[in-house]
Amino acid sequence: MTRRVLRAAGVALPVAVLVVLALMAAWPGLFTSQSPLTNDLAAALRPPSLDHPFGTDNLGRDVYARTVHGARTSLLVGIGATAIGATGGVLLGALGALGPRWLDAALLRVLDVLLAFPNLLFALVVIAFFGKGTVNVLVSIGIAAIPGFARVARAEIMVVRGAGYVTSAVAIGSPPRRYILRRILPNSLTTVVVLAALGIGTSIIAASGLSFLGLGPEPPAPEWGLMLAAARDLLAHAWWTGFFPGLVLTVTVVSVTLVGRRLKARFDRRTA
Amino acid sequence: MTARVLVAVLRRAGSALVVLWGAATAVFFTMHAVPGDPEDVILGQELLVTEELRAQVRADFGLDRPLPAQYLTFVGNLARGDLGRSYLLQQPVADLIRDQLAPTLQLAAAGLLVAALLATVLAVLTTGRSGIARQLAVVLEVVAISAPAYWVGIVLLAFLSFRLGWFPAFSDGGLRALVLPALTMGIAIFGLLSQVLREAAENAERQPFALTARTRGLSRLAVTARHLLKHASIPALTVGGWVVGGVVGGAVLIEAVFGRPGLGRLTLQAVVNQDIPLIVGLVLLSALVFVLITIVLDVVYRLVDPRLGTRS
Repeated sequence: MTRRVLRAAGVALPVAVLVVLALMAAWPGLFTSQSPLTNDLAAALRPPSLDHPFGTDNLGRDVYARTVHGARTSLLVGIGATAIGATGGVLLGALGALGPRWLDAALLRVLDVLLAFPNLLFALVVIAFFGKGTVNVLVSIGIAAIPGFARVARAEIMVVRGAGYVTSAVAIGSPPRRYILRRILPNSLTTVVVLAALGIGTSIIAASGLSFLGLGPEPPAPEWGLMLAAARDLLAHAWWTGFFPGLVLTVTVVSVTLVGRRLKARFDRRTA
Repeated sequence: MTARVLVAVLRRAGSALVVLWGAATAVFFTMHAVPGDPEDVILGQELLVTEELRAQVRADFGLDRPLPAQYLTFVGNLARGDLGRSYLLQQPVADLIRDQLAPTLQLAAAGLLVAALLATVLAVLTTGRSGIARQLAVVLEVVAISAPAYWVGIVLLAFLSFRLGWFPAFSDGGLRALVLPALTMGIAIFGLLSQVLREAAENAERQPFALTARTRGLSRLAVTARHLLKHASIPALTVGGWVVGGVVGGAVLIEAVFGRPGLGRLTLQAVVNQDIPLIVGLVLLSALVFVLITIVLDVVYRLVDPRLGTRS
Protein backbone atom coordinates (compact mmCIF):
# COMPACT_ATOMS: atom_id res chain seq x y z
CA MET A 1 0.00 0.00 0.00
CA THR A 2 2.61 2.56 1.08
CA ARG A 3 4.77 1.46 -1.81
CA ARG A 4 1.94 2.07 -4.21
CA VAL A 5 1.33 5.54 -2.79
CA LEU A 6 5.05 6.32 -3.04
CA ARG A 7 5.09 5.10 -6.62
CA ALA A 8 2.13 7.24 -7.59
CA ALA A 9 3.65 10.25 -5.82
CA GLY A 10 6.87 9.60 -7.72
CA VAL A 11 5.04 10.50 -10.94
CA ALA A 12 2.42 12.93 -9.72
CA LEU A 13 4.82 15.17 -7.82
CA PRO A 14 7.22 15.96 -10.66
CA VAL A 15 4.31 16.40 -13.06
CA ALA A 16 2.67 18.82 -10.62
CA VAL A 17 5.95 20.74 -10.29
CA LEU A 18 6.21 21.04 -14.05
CA VAL A 19 2.62 22.25 -14.33
CA VAL A 20 3.30 24.94 -11.72
CA LEU A 21 6.46 25.97 -13.57
CA ALA A 22 4.60 26.18 -16.86
CA LEU A 23 2.04 28.43 -15.19
CA MET A 24 4.82 30.59 -13.77
CA ALA A 25 6.32 30.93 -17.21
CA ALA A 26 2.99 31.82 -18.81
CA TRP A 27 1.45 34.03 -16.10
CA PRO A 28 4.02 35.07 -13.50
CA GLY A 29 1.42 37.53 -12.18
CA LEU A 30 -0.54 34.57 -10.77
CA PHE A 31 2.26 33.87 -8.30
CA THR A 32 3.56 37.28 -7.37
CA SER A 33 2.34 40.83 -7.57
CA GLN A 34 5.83 42.25 -7.04
CA SER A 35 7.97 43.46 -9.89
CA PRO A 36 11.18 41.53 -10.57
CA LEU A 37 12.95 44.73 -11.59
CA THR A 38 11.92 47.47 -9.14
CA ASN A 39 14.78 48.50 -6.86
CA ASP A 40 14.10 49.37 -3.25
CA LEU A 41 17.43 50.15 -1.65
CA ALA A 42 15.80 50.71 1.75
CA ALA A 43 14.83 47.03 1.78
CA ALA A 44 18.13 45.64 0.46
CA LEU A 45 19.47 42.25 1.61
CA ARG A 46 16.53 41.35 3.85
CA PRO A 47 16.48 37.71 4.91
CA PRO A 48 13.42 35.59 4.00
CA SER A 49 10.24 36.80 5.68
CA LEU A 50 6.49 36.71 5.04
CA ASP A 51 6.73 39.79 2.80
CA HIS A 52 9.70 38.41 0.92
CA PRO A 53 9.61 34.61 1.13
CA PHE A 54 13.01 34.28 -0.58
CA GLY A 55 14.43 37.54 0.87
CA THR A 56 15.66 40.53 -1.12
CA ASP A 57 18.86 41.10 -3.07
CA ASN A 58 21.42 43.90 -2.86
CA LEU A 59 19.14 46.29 -4.76
CA GLY A 60 16.13 45.42 -2.64
CA ARG A 61 14.44 43.41 -5.39
CA ASP A 62 12.22 40.56 -4.28
CA VAL A 63 14.12 37.31 -4.91
CA TYR A 64 10.88 35.31 -5.04
CA ALA A 65 9.43 37.57 -7.75
CA ARG A 66 12.68 37.36 -9.71
CA THR A 67 12.71 33.57 -9.38
CA VAL A 68 9.10 33.31 -10.59
CA HIS A 69 9.79 35.57 -13.55
CA GLY A 70 12.93 33.60 -14.34
CA ALA A 71 10.95 30.45 -15.11
CA ARG A 72 10.00 31.68 -18.56
CA THR A 73 13.55 32.14 -19.87
CA SER A 74 14.75 28.83 -18.48
CA LEU A 75 11.84 26.79 -19.78
CA LEU A 76 11.83 28.44 -23.20
CA VAL A 77 15.58 28.05 -23.62
CA GLY A 78 15.47 24.44 -22.40
CA ILE A 79 12.66 23.47 -24.75
CA GLY A 80 13.93 25.56 -27.67
CA ALA A 81 17.48 24.21 -27.46
CA THR A 82 16.21 20.64 -27.25
CA ALA A 83 13.94 21.23 -30.25
CA ILE A 84 16.94 22.44 -32.28
CA GLY A 85 19.04 19.49 -31.14
CA ALA A 86 16.34 16.89 -31.82
CA THR A 87 15.29 18.32 -35.20
CA GLY A 88 18.85 18.72 -36.40
CA GLY A 89 19.73 15.30 -35.05
CA VAL A 90 16.81 13.55 -36.76
CA LEU A 91 17.58 15.26 -40.07
CA LEU A 92 21.24 14.27 -39.92
CA GLY A 93 20.41 10.78 -38.68
CA ALA A 94 17.88 10.25 -41.47
CA LEU A 95 20.37 11.52 -44.00
CA GLY A 96 22.91 9.00 -42.78
CA ALA A 97 20.56 6.05 -42.42
CA LEU A 98 18.61 6.55 -45.65
CA GLY A 99 21.10 8.39 -47.85
CA PRO A 100 23.98 7.00 -49.90
CA ARG A 101 26.53 4.93 -48.08
CA TRP A 102 29.44 7.35 -48.57
CA LEU A 103 27.40 10.09 -46.93
CA ASP A 104 26.68 7.83 -43.96
CA ALA A 105 30.37 6.99 -43.59
CA ALA A 106 31.35 10.67 -43.75
CA LEU A 107 28.62 11.59 -41.27
CA LEU A 108 29.75 8.94 -38.81
CA ARG A 109 33.29 10.30 -38.95
CA VAL A 110 32.08 13.83 -38.26
CA LEU A 111 29.87 12.64 -35.41
CA ASP A 112 32.83 10.76 -33.92
CA VAL A 113 34.81 14.00 -33.83
CA LEU A 114 31.93 16.06 -32.44
CA LEU A 115 30.98 13.53 -29.78
CA ALA A 116 34.55 13.69 -28.51
CA PHE A 117 33.75 17.11 -27.04
CA PRO A 118 32.00 17.75 -23.78
CA ASN A 119 28.70 19.50 -24.51
CA LEU A 120 29.53 22.59 -22.53
CA LEU A 121 32.83 23.11 -24.36
CA PHE A 122 31.05 22.64 -27.67
CA ALA A 123 28.42 25.21 -26.66
CA LEU A 124 31.18 27.61 -25.55
CA VAL A 125 32.89 27.37 -28.94
CA VAL A 126 29.57 28.09 -30.69
CA ILE A 127 29.04 31.07 -28.36
CA ALA A 128 32.51 32.31 -29.25
CA PHE A 129 31.30 32.28 -32.84
CA PHE A 130 27.87 33.88 -32.39
CA GLY A 131 28.62 36.13 -29.42
CA LYS A 132 26.76 36.50 -26.12
CA GLY A 133 23.02 36.73 -25.60
CA THR A 134 19.97 34.68 -24.62
CA VAL A 135 19.10 33.59 -28.16
CA ASN A 136 22.71 32.69 -28.86
CA VAL A 137 22.81 30.58 -25.69
CA LEU A 138 19.70 28.75 -26.87
CA VAL A 139 21.13 28.16 -30.34
CA SER A 140 24.56 27.10 -29.11
CA ILE A 141 23.17 24.55 -26.66
CA GLY A 142 20.84 23.27 -29.36
CA ILE A 143 23.69 22.85 -31.82
CA ALA A 144 25.83 21.14 -29.20
CA ALA A 145 23.02 18.63 -28.64
CA ILE A 146 22.69 17.70 -32.33
CA PRO A 147 25.42 15.01 -32.50
CA GLY A 148 23.94 13.00 -29.62
CA PHE A 149 20.46 13.05 -31.15
CA ALA A 150 21.86 12.29 -34.61
CA ARG A 151 23.58 9.14 -33.40
CA VAL A 152 20.46 7.79 -31.71
CA ALA A 153 18.14 8.78 -34.58
CA ARG A 154 20.44 7.16 -37.12
CA ALA A 155 20.55 3.88 -35.19
CA GLU A 156 16.77 3.82 -34.72
CA ILE A 157 16.02 4.61 -38.35
CA MET A 158 18.44 1.87 -39.42
CA VAL A 159 16.48 -0.66 -37.34
CA VAL A 160 13.07 0.44 -38.61
CA ARG A 161 14.28 0.56 -42.21
CA GLY A 162 14.83 -3.19 -42.06
CA ALA A 163 11.37 -3.94 -40.65
CA GLY A 164 8.91 -6.03 -42.66
CA TYR A 165 6.30 -3.33 -43.09
CA VAL A 166 8.88 -1.04 -44.68
CA THR A 167 10.08 -3.74 -47.03
CA SER A 168 6.51 -4.43 -48.09
CA ALA A 169 5.82 -0.72 -48.59
CA VAL A 170 8.86 -0.56 -50.85
CA ALA A 171 7.77 -3.76 -52.63
CA ILE A 172 4.31 -2.47 -53.51
CA GLY A 173 5.93 0.57 -55.09
CA SER A 174 5.29 3.20 -52.45
CA PRO A 175 7.37 6.31 -53.28
CA PRO A 176 10.29 6.97 -50.89
CA ARG A 177 8.88 10.23 -49.56
CA ARG A 178 5.67 8.44 -48.62
CA TYR A 179 7.16 5.47 -46.78
CA ILE A 180 9.82 7.59 -45.09
CA LEU A 181 7.27 10.06 -43.72
CA ARG A 182 4.45 7.59 -43.03
CA ARG A 183 6.30 4.49 -41.95
CA ILE A 184 9.93 5.04 -41.01
CA LEU A 185 9.92 8.36 -39.13
CA PRO A 186 6.83 7.80 -36.94
CA ASN A 187 8.12 4.40 -35.88
CA SER A 188 11.68 5.43 -35.14
CA LEU A 189 11.11 8.68 -33.30
CA THR A 190 9.87 7.36 -29.95
CA THR A 191 13.42 7.01 -28.63
CA VAL A 192 14.23 10.50 -29.81
CA VAL A 193 11.18 11.89 -28.02
CA VAL A 194 12.15 10.16 -24.77
CA LEU A 195 15.71 11.40 -25.16
CA ALA A 196 14.37 14.91 -25.80
CA ALA A 197 12.34 14.82 -22.57
CA LEU A 198 15.54 14.07 -20.66
CA GLY A 199 17.44 16.57 -22.80
CA ILE A 200 15.27 19.49 -21.70
CA GLY A 201 16.66 19.14 -18.18
CA THR A 202 20.25 19.07 -19.39
CA SER A 203 19.62 22.06 -21.64
CA ILE A 204 18.14 24.08 -18.77
CA ILE A 205 21.23 23.43 -16.64
CA ALA A 206 23.58 24.21 -19.52
CA ALA A 207 21.73 27.43 -20.35
CA SER A 208 21.77 28.77 -16.81
CA GLY A 209 25.41 27.70 -16.63
CA LEU A 210 26.27 29.87 -19.61
CA SER A 211 24.27 32.73 -18.09
CA PHE A 212 26.12 32.18 -14.83
CA LEU A 213 29.36 32.70 -16.77
CA GLY A 214 27.99 35.98 -18.10
CA LEU A 215 27.37 34.75 -21.64
CA GLY A 216 23.55 34.91 -21.59
CA PRO A 217 21.09 37.70 -20.85
CA GLU A 218 22.35 40.99 -19.46
CA PRO A 219 21.50 42.15 -15.94
CA PRO A 220 19.00 43.11 -14.58
CA ALA A 221 17.06 40.37 -16.41
CA PRO A 222 15.51 37.90 -13.94
CA GLU A 223 17.30 34.73 -15.04
CA TRP A 224 18.32 31.94 -12.67
CA GLY A 225 21.93 31.60 -13.80
CA LEU A 226 22.42 35.35 -13.74
CA MET A 227 20.89 35.54 -10.26
CA LEU A 228 23.28 32.85 -9.05
CA ALA A 229 26.25 34.74 -10.49
CA ALA A 230 25.18 37.90 -8.65
CA ALA A 231 24.61 35.87 -5.50
CA ARG A 232 28.16 34.56 -5.63
CA ASP A 233 29.40 38.04 -4.72
CA LEU A 234 26.87 38.44 -1.92
CA LEU A 235 27.52 35.11 -0.19
CA ALA A 236 29.22 36.71 2.78
CA HIS A 237 26.04 38.67 3.58
CA ALA A 238 23.04 36.98 2.02
CA TRP A 239 22.92 33.22 1.33
CA TRP A 240 19.28 33.42 0.27
CA THR A 241 19.88 35.38 -2.94
CA GLY A 242 21.51 32.31 -4.48
CA PHE A 243 20.04 29.47 -2.50
CA PHE A 244 16.42 29.83 -3.61
CA PRO A 245 16.80 30.41 -7.36
CA GLY A 246 19.24 27.48 -7.45
CA LEU A 247 16.85 25.32 -5.45
CA VAL A 248 14.01 26.05 -7.88
CA LEU A 249 16.37 25.35 -10.78
CA THR A 250 17.37 22.03 -9.23
CA VAL A 251 13.77 21.03 -8.47
CA THR A 252 12.86 21.87 -12.07
CA VAL A 253 15.61 19.71 -13.50
CA VAL A 254 14.92 16.85 -11.07
CA SER A 255 11.25 16.90 -12.11
CA VAL A 256 12.06 16.91 -15.82
CA THR A 257 14.52 14.07 -15.28
CA LEU A 258 12.05 11.98 -13.27
CA VAL A 259 9.29 12.39 -15.84
CA GLY A 260 11.75 11.64 -18.65
CA ARG A 261 12.93 8.51 -16.88
CA ARG A 262 9.42 7.29 -16.32
CA LEU A 263 8.72 7.76 -20.02
CA LYS A 264 11.91 5.89 -20.83
CA ALA A 265 11.12 3.00 -18.48
CA ARG A 266 7.67 2.70 -19.98
CA PHE A 267 9.05 2.72 -23.48
CA ASP A 268 11.80 0.20 -22.65
CA ARG A 269 9.21 -2.16 -21.17
CA ARG A 270 7.09 -1.89 -24.28
CA THR A 271 9.94 -2.75 -26.62
CA ALA A 272 11.41 -5.49 -24.43
CA MET B 1 50.34 -12.00 -32.50
CA THR B 2 52.70 -9.08 -32.01
CA ALA B 3 52.12 -8.01 -35.61
CA ARG B 4 48.42 -7.94 -34.97
CA VAL B 5 48.86 -5.86 -31.84
CA LEU B 6 51.10 -3.47 -33.77
CA VAL B 7 48.51 -3.08 -36.51
CA ALA B 8 45.82 -2.44 -33.90
CA VAL B 9 47.95 0.21 -32.21
CA LEU B 10 48.77 1.89 -35.52
CA ARG B 11 45.13 1.91 -36.51
CA ARG B 12 44.20 3.45 -33.16
CA ALA B 13 46.87 6.12 -33.51
CA GLY B 14 45.69 6.81 -37.05
CA SER B 15 42.09 7.36 -36.10
CA ALA B 16 43.23 9.45 -33.13
CA LEU B 17 45.16 11.72 -35.49
CA VAL B 18 42.10 12.00 -37.73
CA VAL B 19 39.97 13.09 -34.77
CA LEU B 20 42.55 15.68 -33.71
CA TRP B 21 43.04 17.01 -37.22
CA GLY B 22 39.29 17.14 -37.85
CA ALA B 23 38.68 19.03 -34.61
CA ALA B 24 41.47 21.51 -35.30
CA THR B 25 40.35 22.13 -38.88
CA ALA B 26 36.69 22.58 -37.97
CA VAL B 27 37.40 25.09 -35.22
CA PHE B 28 40.01 26.92 -37.30
CA PHE B 29 37.65 27.59 -40.18
CA THR B 30 34.55 28.30 -38.08
CA MET B 31 36.40 30.77 -35.92
CA HIS B 32 37.93 32.56 -38.87
CA ALA B 33 34.43 32.95 -40.30
CA VAL B 34 33.45 35.04 -37.27
CA PRO B 35 32.49 38.53 -38.33
CA GLY B 36 34.95 41.14 -37.09
CA ASP B 37 38.70 41.49 -37.34
CA PRO B 38 41.08 39.44 -35.22
CA GLU B 39 43.44 42.41 -35.01
CA ASP B 40 40.83 44.20 -32.89
CA VAL B 41 41.25 41.45 -30.31
CA ILE B 42 45.02 41.62 -30.58
CA LEU B 43 45.15 45.41 -30.26
CA GLY B 44 42.56 45.26 -27.48
CA GLN B 45 43.41 48.03 -25.04
CA GLU B 46 45.60 49.99 -27.44
CA LEU B 47 44.25 53.53 -27.58
CA LEU B 48 45.82 54.99 -30.69
CA VAL B 49 45.11 52.49 -33.43
CA THR B 50 46.46 53.71 -36.74
CA GLU B 51 46.07 51.94 -40.06
CA GLU B 52 49.83 51.32 -39.98
CA LEU B 53 49.64 49.61 -36.64
CA ARG B 54 46.76 47.44 -37.86
CA ALA B 55 48.71 46.45 -40.96
CA GLN B 56 51.74 45.64 -38.86
CA VAL B 57 49.74 43.46 -36.48
CA ARG B 58 48.11 41.67 -39.39
CA ALA B 59 51.52 40.98 -40.85
CA ASP B 60 52.90 39.87 -37.46
CA PHE B 61 50.20 37.28 -36.98
CA GLY B 62 50.10 36.28 -40.64
CA LEU B 63 46.54 37.57 -40.96
CA ASP B 64 47.29 39.42 -44.20
CA ARG B 65 47.63 36.20 -46.13
CA PRO B 66 44.70 34.29 -47.67
CA LEU B 67 42.93 31.90 -45.31
CA PRO B 68 44.04 28.67 -47.05
CA ALA B 69 47.66 29.80 -46.69
CA GLN B 70 47.09 30.61 -43.02
CA TYR B 71 45.56 27.16 -42.59
CA LEU B 72 48.56 25.43 -44.14
CA THR B 73 50.93 27.31 -41.85
CA PHE B 74 48.68 26.45 -38.90
CA VAL B 75 48.68 22.73 -39.70
CA GLY B 76 52.43 22.79 -40.37
CA ASN B 77 53.09 24.44 -37.01
CA LEU B 78 50.68 22.08 -35.32
CA ALA B 79 52.61 19.09 -36.62
CA ARG B 80 55.66 20.51 -34.87
CA GLY B 81 53.71 21.05 -31.66
CA ASP B 82 53.44 24.82 -32.11
CA LEU B 83 49.92 26.01 -31.29
CA GLY B 84 50.53 29.63 -32.23
CA ARG B 85 50.28 32.79 -30.14
CA SER B 86 47.26 33.99 -28.15
CA TYR B 87 45.73 37.17 -29.58
CA LEU B 88 44.80 38.55 -26.21
CA LEU B 89 47.72 37.55 -24.03
CA GLN B 90 50.37 37.62 -26.76
CA GLN B 91 52.00 34.48 -25.41
CA PRO B 92 52.45 31.05 -26.97
CA VAL B 93 49.22 29.07 -26.51
CA ALA B 94 51.15 25.96 -25.47
CA ASP B 95 52.78 27.89 -22.59
CA LEU B 96 49.45 29.30 -21.42
CA ILE B 97 47.88 25.85 -21.38
CA ARG B 98 50.86 24.31 -19.61
CA ASP B 99 50.74 26.98 -16.90
CA GLN B 100 47.06 26.39 -16.19
CA LEU B 101 47.17 22.60 -16.40
CA ALA B 102 48.20 21.87 -12.81
CA PRO B 103 45.29 23.49 -10.90
CA THR B 104 42.71 21.87 -13.19
CA LEU B 105 44.37 18.46 -12.96
CA GLN B 106 44.41 18.82 -9.17
CA LEU B 107 40.72 19.67 -9.17
CA ALA B 108 39.86 16.83 -11.55
CA ALA B 109 41.85 14.23 -9.62
CA ALA B 110 40.41 15.27 -6.26
CA GLY B 111 36.89 15.49 -7.70
CA LEU B 112 37.12 12.02 -9.23
CA LEU B 113 38.43 10.61 -5.98
CA VAL B 114 35.49 12.06 -4.05
CA ALA B 115 33.06 10.77 -6.67
CA ALA B 116 34.58 7.28 -6.71
CA LEU B 117 34.43 7.04 -2.92
CA LEU B 118 30.84 8.26 -2.67
CA ALA B 119 29.68 6.06 -5.55
CA THR B 120 31.39 2.93 -4.22
CA VAL B 121 30.01 3.32 -0.71
CA LEU B 122 26.50 4.00 -1.96
CA ALA B 123 26.58 1.16 -4.48
CA VAL B 124 27.91 -1.38 -1.97
CA LEU B 125 25.27 -0.44 0.56
CA THR B 126 22.34 -0.59 -1.84
CA THR B 127 23.16 -3.36 -4.34
CA GLY B 128 20.44 -6.02 -4.47
CA ARG B 129 18.32 -4.29 -1.86
CA SER B 130 14.91 -2.78 -1.99
CA GLY B 131 13.23 -0.56 0.56
CA ILE B 132 13.72 2.85 2.04
CA ALA B 133 17.54 2.92 1.90
CA ARG B 134 17.49 2.08 -1.77
CA GLN B 135 14.80 4.68 -2.53
CA LEU B 136 16.81 7.29 -0.65
CA ALA B 137 19.94 6.42 -2.60
CA VAL B 138 18.09 6.71 -5.90
CA VAL B 139 16.67 10.11 -4.95
CA LEU B 140 20.11 11.26 -3.83
CA GLU B 141 21.61 10.20 -7.14
CA VAL B 142 18.97 11.95 -9.25
CA VAL B 143 19.36 15.15 -7.23
CA ALA B 144 23.16 14.98 -7.49
CA ILE B 145 22.94 14.50 -11.25
CA SER B 146 20.38 17.27 -11.70
CA ALA B 147 21.70 19.91 -9.32
CA PRO B 148 23.86 22.36 -11.26
CA ALA B 149 27.45 22.34 -10.00
CA TYR B 150 27.53 26.12 -9.69
CA TRP B 151 24.59 26.02 -7.29
CA VAL B 152 26.07 23.18 -5.23
CA GLY B 153 29.29 25.19 -5.06
CA ILE B 154 27.46 28.33 -3.93
CA VAL B 155 25.54 26.44 -1.22
CA LEU B 156 28.73 24.79 0.06
CA LEU B 157 30.49 28.15 0.08
CA ALA B 158 27.61 29.91 1.83
CA PHE B 159 27.43 27.45 4.70
CA LEU B 160 30.81 25.76 5.11
CA SER B 161 32.90 28.73 4.18
CA PHE B 162 31.11 31.97 4.99
CA ARG B 163 28.92 30.71 7.82
CA LEU B 164 31.19 28.23 9.54
CA GLY B 165 34.52 29.46 8.21
CA TRP B 166 35.93 25.96 7.74
CA PHE B 167 37.31 26.54 4.28
CA PRO B 168 38.66 29.58 2.43
CA ALA B 169 36.17 31.25 0.10
CA PHE B 170 38.74 31.91 -2.58
CA SER B 171 41.52 29.73 -3.85
CA ASP B 172 44.87 30.48 -2.26
CA GLY B 173 46.51 27.47 -3.86
CA GLY B 174 46.44 25.53 -0.59
CA LEU B 175 44.98 22.10 0.05
CA ARG B 176 42.14 23.44 2.21
CA ALA B 177 40.99 25.58 -0.67
CA LEU B 178 40.73 22.45 -2.81
CA VAL B 179 38.20 20.70 -0.53
CA LEU B 180 35.02 22.51 -1.56
CA PRO B 181 35.73 22.60 -5.32
CA ALA B 182 36.59 18.89 -5.21
CA LEU B 183 33.44 18.15 -3.23
CA THR B 184 31.39 20.12 -5.75
CA MET B 185 32.87 18.25 -8.68
CA GLY B 186 32.55 14.93 -6.83
CA ILE B 187 28.86 15.53 -6.16
CA ALA B 188 28.29 16.41 -9.80
CA ILE B 189 29.88 13.14 -10.93
CA PHE B 190 29.05 10.51 -8.34
CA GLY B 191 25.33 10.13 -9.07
CA LEU B 192 25.85 8.74 -12.52
CA LEU B 193 28.76 6.60 -11.39
CA SER B 194 26.80 5.12 -8.52
CA GLN B 195 23.82 4.26 -10.74
CA VAL B 196 26.04 2.50 -13.24
CA LEU B 197 27.95 0.64 -10.53
CA ARG B 198 24.81 -0.66 -8.85
CA GLU B 199 23.13 -1.70 -12.06
CA ALA B 200 26.22 -3.62 -13.18
CA ALA B 201 26.70 -5.16 -9.72
CA GLU B 202 23.11 -6.36 -9.77
CA ASN B 203 23.65 -7.92 -13.16
CA ALA B 204 26.69 -9.73 -11.80
CA GLU B 205 24.69 -10.86 -8.79
CA ARG B 206 22.50 -12.99 -11.04
CA GLN B 207 25.51 -15.03 -12.13
CA PRO B 208 26.20 -18.40 -10.48
CA PHE B 209 29.44 -17.34 -8.79
CA ALA B 210 27.53 -14.83 -6.67
CA LEU B 211 25.32 -17.58 -5.31
CA THR B 212 28.37 -19.77 -4.74
CA ALA B 213 30.00 -17.02 -2.70
CA ARG B 214 26.83 -16.65 -0.65
CA THR B 215 26.69 -20.41 0.03
CA ARG B 216 30.27 -20.23 1.27
CA GLY B 217 28.81 -18.10 4.01
CA LEU B 218 29.86 -14.66 2.82
CA SER B 219 27.47 -11.91 3.77
CA ARG B 220 25.67 -10.00 1.08
CA LEU B 221 27.79 -6.92 1.74
CA ALA B 222 30.99 -8.95 1.48
CA VAL B 223 29.91 -10.52 -1.80
CA THR B 224 29.20 -7.08 -3.23
CA ALA B 225 32.42 -5.56 -1.97
CA ARG B 226 34.70 -8.47 -2.90
CA HIS B 227 33.20 -9.87 -6.06
CA LEU B 228 30.45 -7.86 -7.66
CA LEU B 229 32.25 -4.51 -7.63
CA LYS B 230 35.03 -5.93 -9.75
CA HIS B 231 32.49 -7.00 -12.34
CA ALA B 232 30.81 -3.64 -12.14
CA SER B 233 34.03 -1.72 -12.63
CA ILE B 234 34.07 -2.04 -16.42
CA PRO B 235 30.93 0.03 -17.12
CA ALA B 236 31.92 2.34 -14.27
CA LEU B 237 35.30 2.88 -15.91
CA THR B 238 33.58 3.76 -19.17
CA VAL B 239 31.45 6.37 -17.43
CA GLY B 240 34.50 7.56 -15.50
CA GLY B 241 36.44 8.00 -18.72
CA TRP B 242 33.58 9.90 -20.24
CA VAL B 243 33.52 12.14 -17.18
CA VAL B 244 37.25 12.84 -17.35
CA GLY B 245 36.76 13.77 -20.99
CA GLY B 246 34.32 16.43 -19.86
CA VAL B 247 36.57 17.85 -17.17
CA VAL B 248 37.70 20.91 -19.13
CA GLY B 249 34.07 21.83 -19.80
CA GLY B 250 32.97 21.16 -16.22
CA ALA B 251 35.96 22.99 -14.82
CA VAL B 252 34.78 26.22 -16.47
CA LEU B 253 31.85 26.47 -14.06
CA ILE B 254 33.55 25.18 -10.93
CA GLU B 255 36.59 27.39 -11.41
CA ALA B 256 34.28 30.36 -11.92
CA VAL B 257 32.36 29.66 -8.70
CA PHE B 258 35.46 29.26 -6.57
CA GLY B 259 37.62 31.85 -8.31
CA ARG B 260 40.23 29.20 -9.06
CA PRO B 261 42.81 29.55 -11.80
CA GLY B 262 42.93 26.80 -14.39
CA LEU B 263 42.02 25.64 -17.88
CA GLY B 264 38.33 26.36 -17.34
CA ARG B 265 39.00 29.98 -16.61
CA LEU B 266 41.39 30.17 -19.56
CA THR B 267 38.64 28.72 -21.77
CA LEU B 268 36.11 31.30 -20.62
CA GLN B 269 38.60 34.10 -21.25
CA ALA B 270 39.34 32.75 -24.72
CA VAL B 271 35.64 32.45 -25.59
CA VAL B 272 34.68 35.89 -24.31
CA ASN B 273 37.48 37.54 -26.27
CA GLN B 274 37.24 35.41 -29.41
CA ASP B 275 40.91 34.54 -28.99
CA ILE B 276 41.02 32.12 -31.92
CA PRO B 277 44.44 30.46 -31.39
CA LEU B 278 43.68 29.90 -27.70
CA ILE B 279 40.24 28.42 -28.46
CA VAL B 280 41.73 26.11 -31.08
CA GLY B 281 44.44 25.05 -28.63
CA LEU B 282 41.95 24.27 -25.86
CA VAL B 283 39.66 22.35 -28.19
CA LEU B 284 42.66 20.32 -29.34
CA LEU B 285 43.61 19.65 -25.74
CA SER B 286 40.11 18.38 -25.03
CA ALA B 287 40.19 16.15 -28.11
CA LEU B 288 43.61 14.86 -27.07
CA VAL B 289 42.31 14.03 -23.59
CA PHE B 290 39.40 12.15 -25.15
CA VAL B 291 41.69 10.19 -27.47
CA LEU B 292 44.12 9.33 -24.66
CA ILE B 293 41.29 8.19 -22.39
CA THR B 294 39.95 5.87 -25.07
CA ILE B 295 43.37 4.29 -25.41
CA VAL B 296 44.04 4.06 -21.67
CA LEU B 297 40.60 2.56 -21.02
CA ASP B 298 41.24 -0.09 -23.63
CA VAL B 299 44.33 -1.19 -21.72
CA VAL B 300 42.68 -0.93 -18.31
CA TYR B 301 39.69 -3.01 -19.45
CA ARG B 302 42.06 -5.85 -20.25
CA LEU B 303 43.82 -5.54 -16.90
CA VAL B 304 40.54 -5.62 -14.99
CA ASP B 305 38.93 -8.33 -17.08
CA PRO B 306 41.45 -10.83 -18.48
CA ARG B 307 38.66 -12.45 -20.51
CA LEU B 308 38.78 -9.50 -22.90
CA GLY B 309 42.38 -10.27 -23.89
CA THR B 310 41.63 -13.75 -25.22
CA ARG B 311 39.84 -14.38 -28.44
CA SER B 312 37.40 -17.22 -28.43
